[in-house]
Amino acid sequence: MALARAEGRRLLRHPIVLASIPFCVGTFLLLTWNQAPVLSRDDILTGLALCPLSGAVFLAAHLGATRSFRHGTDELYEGTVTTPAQRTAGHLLSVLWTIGPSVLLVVAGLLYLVALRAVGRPDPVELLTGPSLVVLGGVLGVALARWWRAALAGPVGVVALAAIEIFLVWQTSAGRPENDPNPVRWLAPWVPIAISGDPPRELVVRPSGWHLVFIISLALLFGGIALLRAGVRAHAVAATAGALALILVAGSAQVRAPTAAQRRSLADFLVHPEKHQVCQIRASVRYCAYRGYAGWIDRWAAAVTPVTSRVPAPARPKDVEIIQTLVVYGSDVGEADLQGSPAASQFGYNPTEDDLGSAITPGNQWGRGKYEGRDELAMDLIVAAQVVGLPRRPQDVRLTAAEARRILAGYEPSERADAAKQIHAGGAWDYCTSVGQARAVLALWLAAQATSRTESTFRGVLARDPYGIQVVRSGSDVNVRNGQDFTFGGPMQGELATLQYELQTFNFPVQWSKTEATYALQLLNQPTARVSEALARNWALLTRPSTTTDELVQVMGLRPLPSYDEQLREAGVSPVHAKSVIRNLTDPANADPSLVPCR
Amino acid sequence: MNDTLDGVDSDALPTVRLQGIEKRFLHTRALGGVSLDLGTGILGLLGPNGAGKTTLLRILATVLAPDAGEVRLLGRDPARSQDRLEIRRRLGYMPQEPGFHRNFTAFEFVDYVAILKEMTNRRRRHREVERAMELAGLSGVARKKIRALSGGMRRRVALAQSLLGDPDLLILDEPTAGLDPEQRLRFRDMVSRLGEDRTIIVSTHQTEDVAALCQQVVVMNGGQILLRGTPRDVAEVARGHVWLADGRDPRARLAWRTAEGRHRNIGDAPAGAELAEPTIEDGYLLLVGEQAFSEAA
Repeated sequence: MALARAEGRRLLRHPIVLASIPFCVGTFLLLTWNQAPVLSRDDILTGLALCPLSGAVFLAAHLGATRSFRHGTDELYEGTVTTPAQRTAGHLLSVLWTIGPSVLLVVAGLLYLVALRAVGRPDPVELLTGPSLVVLGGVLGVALARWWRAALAGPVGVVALAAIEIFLVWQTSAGRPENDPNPVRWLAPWVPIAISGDPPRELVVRPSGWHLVFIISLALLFGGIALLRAGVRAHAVAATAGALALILVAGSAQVRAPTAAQRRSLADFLVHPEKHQVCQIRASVRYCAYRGYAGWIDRWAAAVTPVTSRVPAPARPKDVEIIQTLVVYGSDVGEADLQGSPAASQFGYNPTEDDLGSAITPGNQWGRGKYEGRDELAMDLIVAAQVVGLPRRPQDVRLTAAEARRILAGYEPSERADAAKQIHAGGAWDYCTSVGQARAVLALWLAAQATSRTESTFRGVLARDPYGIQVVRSGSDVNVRNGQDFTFGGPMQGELATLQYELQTFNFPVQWSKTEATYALQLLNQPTARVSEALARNWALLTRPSTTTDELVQVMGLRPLPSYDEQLREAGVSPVHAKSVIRNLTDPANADPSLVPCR
Repeated sequence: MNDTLDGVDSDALPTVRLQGIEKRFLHTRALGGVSLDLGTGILGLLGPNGAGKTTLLRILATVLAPDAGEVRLLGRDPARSQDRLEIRRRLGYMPQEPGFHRNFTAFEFVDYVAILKEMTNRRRRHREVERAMELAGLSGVARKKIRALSGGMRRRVALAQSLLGDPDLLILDEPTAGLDPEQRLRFRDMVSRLGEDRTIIVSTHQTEDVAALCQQVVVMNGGQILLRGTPRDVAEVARGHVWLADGRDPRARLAWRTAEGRHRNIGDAPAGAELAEPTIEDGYLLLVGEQAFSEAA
């Protein structure tokens, strides 16, 4: 034990091990940086975060166990009381000294997440996986030293381990369906929640207990093999045989595919969400979250309440609901397990067919820092659209006969008949454009003004893709006169339209235009109370679908945006070129035929 | 006859008893039937390179097993694992090239060996390490990294580790190699004090060290013991074969000019030569023959 203690201390003080700790911390911070912490998910990440330490302990343990060979002290040590077997045992036991710091790192990680208002409960078994990987790394390093004593062996071993991890987890599952990844991945040291997609921990069967036994058995096996090699017989044979038996048991248990009963149990989260969710009403808005995510209701309400509270009391909606929907994609739940549950529609990947109702359905992820601003803005845009009367779902966008004909005309004649089954007068459509509608400006302002984060996100989005013509400067030669060095990014604000996907909501149809967004920005630049008061006075007018953006500009006293002509003239484009550009931009033939107005 | 180092306590159990020890490395005979009994005191082991000294010391240090013959160390048989452990508990060994962990401090290195010597109690072990380092004159550099120490200092670190546990049998292979004169004198002082109550076997090329320190000398060559006796016995081998002349005598096997300006010739003395008092070095050179002459040259 004295040798183990001495070697353990040396192991912990080894420069490679010390250098790996910032990597562990950095990995954990990186993995959890953008997400509001969920302990039932992030506990798994502690295992990955400790992989640098595991690799470092592997290297340091190998160097420690080969030290006497490399430094020529074997003969000296031979003359001591301690046998090579005892020295090997000492090195193996020294690896246990890494448990303390590993556990400390895990606990520090948890405390960090708790300080960030984490939700959910960590699984102690998952938390132990990381420290056990560190121990396994050390044991493998000592075992390798019994065969290959060159210093080069350590780095080669680490690379081999990384290759095994990547092969088992990602390569063996490559090409398989997301909901049926290869169970062989569980033979890898660390196994992520899913190979693709972002399913919640709740919808994934993780045999983490067996996996922990598997890792510990591997450590015992390689420890036994190292001792056998060092000359120990009876005990090492027993330990190796026992470990081998455990590996077989744990290994076969963990690679078993989820049973039907397990899948049904997971599916119950989606088939009967009411059994697993907690609901609260805050400022007339109903929020429902799964128990492990109940803490997020505060976050959602903090984003939504400033939107609804700006709506004049008589017009304040009573039917806004925020109901969490877990993402099935990549989980262990199959379509068959859901048996007609609304969540089954997630498998169709067709928003026009989903059956999730009109509730706003955030998923199992919520951003942190600037990403929280993006998720808040995404949620607020949907809420704001709903309160100003814009469509909430594709089912609320109904095609007219002319629109259906126009869209179908874009199809190849051979595909037209098939497409016509979905695209017809009165049929639902994936998205609609709010361009030219005053209520769109209203919705955008309501969403942007909600919190400091939403405002900053909104401003950032518009700064990245602003309204109007942009002159492209190529080096010092700015030649706008020939019409080749300016661009027009298009009328629609693409980034705002895709924010909903970050919220894991896929059925919000409204597309925003840069014009309305820029007027909303003008409103944002004015004192909130004054804007709020003016909007309240004109609420009925401004939320009417037929009220145009130009009318809102007049009512609210906004500065009209420059026309294309003015912008091109400002940019120094010759009138001849300007005319041709404007013709291109405004030619109905060039318009996207699939864009239909929100009604 | 069982000789002991002090030549007095012949009935006591010897610390070292070797009977017909043989050792081969492939086709090379390293030891050919070495027999030796040793008791308390300091034994000097002299011999040219390849004489079998290091092989003999490694067998005595239990790190090498003989091919044939019987070994008894401290009354035990090192071929038996339990006995071997018991011997090692009472044995200090400084190999010819001990090797060092360059990133360890001197203290850490000696402490590490102390751990390997089953000194488990940390406080007691540290006291013992400090004692051994003080004996070896290392107290001032205990916290220095070994990579920062000179070759001589490193030899002392190796010596310090061999002194751990106050061993009854101390085996030192070339302990004075690389030491400066002052360090060698300190070494002699330390070893002579230690040799009062234990068995110390010192392998060296330095005949002056042997003359100054050892009660007994074994001269080896070709894996065999050529002579076993006192330093005076070794010197006596050369009596009548060492003479002083004004010049190098062509009949001498080896000759060199002394500080007085005369030539010391070794070989068969010519009639009428002025014979000189032989030294242990003269005897050693005559004993081991041409190989030693060439090494000395």
